[in-house]
Amino acid sequence: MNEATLANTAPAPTASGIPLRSAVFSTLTEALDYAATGATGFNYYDGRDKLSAVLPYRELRQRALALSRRLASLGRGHRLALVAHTHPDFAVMFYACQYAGLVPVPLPAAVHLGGREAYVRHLRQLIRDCQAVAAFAPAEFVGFLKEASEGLPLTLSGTLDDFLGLDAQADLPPPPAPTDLAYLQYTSGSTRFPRGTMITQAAVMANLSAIFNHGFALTEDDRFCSWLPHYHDMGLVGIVLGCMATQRSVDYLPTREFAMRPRLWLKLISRNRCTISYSPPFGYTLCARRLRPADIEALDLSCWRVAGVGAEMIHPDSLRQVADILAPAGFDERAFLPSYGMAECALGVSFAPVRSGPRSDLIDIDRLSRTGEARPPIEGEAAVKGKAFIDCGRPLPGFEVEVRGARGNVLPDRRCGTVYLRGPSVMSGYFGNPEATEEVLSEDGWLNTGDLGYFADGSLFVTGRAKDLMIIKGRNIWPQDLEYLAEQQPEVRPTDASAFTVTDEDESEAAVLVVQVRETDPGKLASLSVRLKQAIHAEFGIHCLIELVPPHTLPRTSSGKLSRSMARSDFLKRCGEEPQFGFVKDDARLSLPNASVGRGVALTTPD
Amino acid sequence: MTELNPATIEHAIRDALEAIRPGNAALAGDADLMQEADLDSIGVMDLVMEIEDRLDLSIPVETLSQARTINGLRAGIVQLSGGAA
Repeated sequence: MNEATLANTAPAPTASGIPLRSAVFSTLTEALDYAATGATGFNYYDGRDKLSAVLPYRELRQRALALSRRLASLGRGHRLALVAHTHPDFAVMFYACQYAGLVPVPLPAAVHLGGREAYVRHLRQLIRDCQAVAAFAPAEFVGFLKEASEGLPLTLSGTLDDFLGLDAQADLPPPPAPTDLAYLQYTSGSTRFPRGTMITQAAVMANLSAIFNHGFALTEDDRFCSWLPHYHDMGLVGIVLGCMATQRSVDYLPTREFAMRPRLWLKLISRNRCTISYSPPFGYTLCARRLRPADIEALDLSCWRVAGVGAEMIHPDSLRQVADILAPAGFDERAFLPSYGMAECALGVSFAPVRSGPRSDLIDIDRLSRTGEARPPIEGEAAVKGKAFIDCGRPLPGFEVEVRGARGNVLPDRRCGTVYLRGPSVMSGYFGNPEATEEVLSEDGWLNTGDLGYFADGSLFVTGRAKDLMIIKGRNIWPQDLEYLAEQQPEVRPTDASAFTVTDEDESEAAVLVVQVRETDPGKLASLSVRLKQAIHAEFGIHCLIELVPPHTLPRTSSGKLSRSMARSDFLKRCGEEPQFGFVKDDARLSLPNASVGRGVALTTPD
Repeated sequence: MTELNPATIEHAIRDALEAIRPGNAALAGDADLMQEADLDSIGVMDLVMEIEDRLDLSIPVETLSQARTINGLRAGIVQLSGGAA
């Protein structure tokens, strides 16, 4: 780490000492020019809860400007791949690209045990996809990066020190225009078909202004804490860009340290009096599970006014459980702020009102899947199943959001359809991929989000993903629901289940639920399988093929999400058959997955 | 700080494994940890934390990315402490 960062011993303060200007800039460089006149900045903590580096915006600007004179020779508009480890050098490189007019491309910084080869392959694929002219990684990741860049036409692949060895041009490069690209961001989709969203300076600034002013109702007393990866839209756009653009200080905990010691996150919030912190639902659940009563006693979370939740389907019950566990530490359930967004529109689309708490809408799920209508269950009607969907609030100003039916018609309130949106922060397209762009972005600027949802009283409720929807005997069933049911079993952990459909011999869809279990006792496995079938039958009235597999069987995307389409194709491979194969009614064939899973335990129960 | 020879390191790894997955202290040195000791990515992080705390060192991602077994981890950590000495 650089001498200047180590020389700072106190974390950057909450008060900037300059008037709050909340993302009212036309470019990121204009925003940093202003933030650098104040006292705030980034604080980096390590896994021992020690401050390892401080990077005030003043110093970030100085170092980024100096480096931009060296990056200029790489060519304006060209891509520079950056391994986005939570480290000051990443921030310096990212903002140096801004001043030099280069397009930074954050890459994942997450490697699994024994996962060296897979990670190197993934990096290489992304570097090629964005046609990078150079690539950077902090020292901890540079070995992977160098291997990934071997033989690729890069001017340079190395650490910040290596980039400081480039010749500096005499003059500062001209600052970017609002129409220039600010960054490329790879979405959390498939690793085989990467999609880099192109976001302009104007697009990201418009989204940050809407999020921080309308979403958070930001004040000059706000301070952020974050463990979110810097290659994820919430971590990159929301924190690394958003906090700078609003002169807020951030206390960073590296993602890996959070995964090891989740209580450090809450400890930082409590000690530094942070007011805003975000996480996908699983982060809250992980944290709540690991907390001991003594940890909770030592925390004061009354300062936490916005506990943002997003990035995956939110279950109202899980949030309530987390709130109950944290309540003795002064956590107010009303701090939960559900939101909805995606990398294709920079970050955020809709936010629930601040301090209203998570609100949900109880829906007759049978009616929803039969008719697409989102209506509350009628009281007194026996056997009606209610399901609660979370209120993701109203679309941010400047966005038009429509829920459309299968024929493209705009649906009225309480009718479920595909969510489309148009607005100033929608991406310019997927880099180098006009076909994928055309699939989701119309000529008049409407983005097909691929998500399903409905409006009720102006609020958006997201019910699932359009492409993952299962249609069984004319009924719409959401795979998330089957997975959630599986996760409710004591043997099954969150994200250990994947549901999808396969085509049976009648050419109709049949549901499959693949569940990872650590259990090896055949009797207990059979019992789990029976319970799952019963629960699914009871809740949805459908038959479902259950396959129990050993841990690490289900494929994941770069951001760790399960991929249902990959799980489905793996499942079919285990069956040794192509799609369009009728096995659902054939008990003998049903045992095929069992035989081909290999080591470990597998049990397939025919329906 | 504990004296770091290969035996101390292996003892710490087995101790750590026993702490998070009781009954696994005697796992074969060349057994795949994720498969045989039932570790998912969060479980791996638990194990790493327990080892780091016992040995008072920080295990870099490079080391973790190349180890799948107790023997692999031990070799990686031996290399680390050798490099630091």
